[in-house]
Amino acid sequence: MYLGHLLELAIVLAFAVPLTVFVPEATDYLVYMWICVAAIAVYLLASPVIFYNHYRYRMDDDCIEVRRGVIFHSHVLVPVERVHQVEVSKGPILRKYNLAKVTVTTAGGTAAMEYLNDPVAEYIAANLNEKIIKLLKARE
Amino acid sequence: MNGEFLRNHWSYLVGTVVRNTLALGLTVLIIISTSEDTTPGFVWAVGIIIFSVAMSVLIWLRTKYYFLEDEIVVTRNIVSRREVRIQYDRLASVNVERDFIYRILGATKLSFNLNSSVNVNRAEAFIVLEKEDAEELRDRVYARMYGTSPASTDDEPDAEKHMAKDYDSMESLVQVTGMDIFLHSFLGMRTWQFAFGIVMLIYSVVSLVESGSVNLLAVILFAVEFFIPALSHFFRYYNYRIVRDGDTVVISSGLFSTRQDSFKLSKVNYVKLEEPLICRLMGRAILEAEVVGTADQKGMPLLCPLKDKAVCTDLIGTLLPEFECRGETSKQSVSALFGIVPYMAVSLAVLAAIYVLLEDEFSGLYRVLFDGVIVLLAAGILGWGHLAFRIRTFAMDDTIALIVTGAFDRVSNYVLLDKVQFVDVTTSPAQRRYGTARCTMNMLSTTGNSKIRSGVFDSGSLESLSYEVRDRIIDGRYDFRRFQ
Repeated sequence: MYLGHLLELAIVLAFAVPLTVFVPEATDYLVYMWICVAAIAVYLLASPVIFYNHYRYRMDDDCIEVRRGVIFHSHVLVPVERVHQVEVSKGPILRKYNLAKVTVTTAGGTAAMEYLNDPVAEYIAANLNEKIIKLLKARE
Repeated sequence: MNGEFLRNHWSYLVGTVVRNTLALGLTVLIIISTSEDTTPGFVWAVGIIIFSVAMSVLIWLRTKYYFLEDEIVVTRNIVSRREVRIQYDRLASVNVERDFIYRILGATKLSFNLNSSVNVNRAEAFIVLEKEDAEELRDRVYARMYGTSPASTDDEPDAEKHMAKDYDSMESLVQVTGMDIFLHSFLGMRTWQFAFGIVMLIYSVVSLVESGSVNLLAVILFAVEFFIPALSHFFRYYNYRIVRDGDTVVISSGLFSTRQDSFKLSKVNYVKLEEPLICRLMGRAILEAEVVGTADQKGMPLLCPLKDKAVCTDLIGTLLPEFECRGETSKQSVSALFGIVPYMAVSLAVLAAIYVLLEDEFSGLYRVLFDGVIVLLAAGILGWGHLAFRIRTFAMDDTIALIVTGAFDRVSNYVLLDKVQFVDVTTSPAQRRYGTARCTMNMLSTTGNSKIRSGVFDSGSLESLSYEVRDRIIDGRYDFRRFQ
């Protein structure tokens, strides 16, 4: 998460620094801009710790529960019965650290479990798929 | 696939060719009108139109419909082969549409919609047939959908005709006059849209008085945002009727193009009682139902156009009694103001800045209009804050959640808990201090998925919504067969 946020910060700086170098006469606006950049930097650097401390996920036979958030905390409870599709995805940063993200799709939207160890993510996805198939077979 | 098949009525081919020719012809006309040598452009135009006609004929010939015992199969074999299979018991609705061309040529379009989030805005399959044949086919498909024996057989032509006309002879559940539809079309729109339209109209008049010529932009904005949508609603809902036939609701309306939607009551996901500000002041409301598979680009099925609120609530009682919520109503917590007041403060600050920056730019009647708009907006912001705090409520019983949202436009959402996909409860730092939260109910809807966001209430009550949805599945109170 830190690495991802550092990347985002680099993108913000990639806009802010050239603006400061090439348009130095807009002093007032540059001051406001750098205040914003500083606020973004503080958020991006501090949020992973807060996110990690608050982040919880739980899965049992009946539902998937995810608590996450930094400033706004979110609590999502998805009944397994409503899950249509399970997806495991890994971006380049996640792949480097053997991490993955599990996204469950329902007819009304998606919920995600992020920064899971690869084997854990694979296990969760396989387990969920098994439960969904069992549910569908029971309906037949 | 072998066996007896149907093909679209020739009016479908005529309609497609006319539409394509008009569209292509107009485009090519614009292109060649800008060039000096028109011959190559003309040859191109004729070539494209011939190709388009040939493709339309090919599509018409190669598209076949098989209405089998358990399913509808649509095959199209042109460059690639396409086969769509729709099982009758998966169908959410069959819509009957007759646009201008079909009405002239005596044809009807039947659309078959699934209860799925894919292709929500357009039917999975459609067929155009001669009016009588379409009505017969619709009855047969209904019979298969609802598991009854077909009402019409080949040796009972009179019975077929009777059944086809049945819905027209049934009494409408709501008596709707032309004036009701007029009020629905012109006053039933969102408050901001109504206010914007009126301001643009006044601005057009002021520009005419002040400078002797109408401001074209204001007229266009008035037409696009207010007049055309209102007129299109009027044409769409004129002759509105809603009838109930067992578990099926049939809604028909239309002045030039007619449309008939039908759906099973069990397919209703949630019901919306809408009361835009002006309608609320008149004691009137609009009732809509969220039924996946019945919407088009213009919105959800209308259960009751703008009528007295009592008529709408009575209709919920008679048509969808399971959507009546008997739970205790909770009002918003004071912590809701932490979200509302900053919005108001920022909006008022922006408005004040606009006033200071632009006040010297106007004179005469324009200045009066400018001051009036600023006062209206300031009153609007204050009014929004007041209403956004006062109006939003939450109630829940064993089967239903009633979430009232909005500010000027109050919307009461009656949501069947068994149709909620999942609930997301969110809290801000201020709300955590007061033990409150907001929740978002994620639903399957006509637009793929929809979210109903509550106001700020006790977090325990909102969390219980999540747990109730889950518990109903675990203890078997949720029975998926009820909704099939």
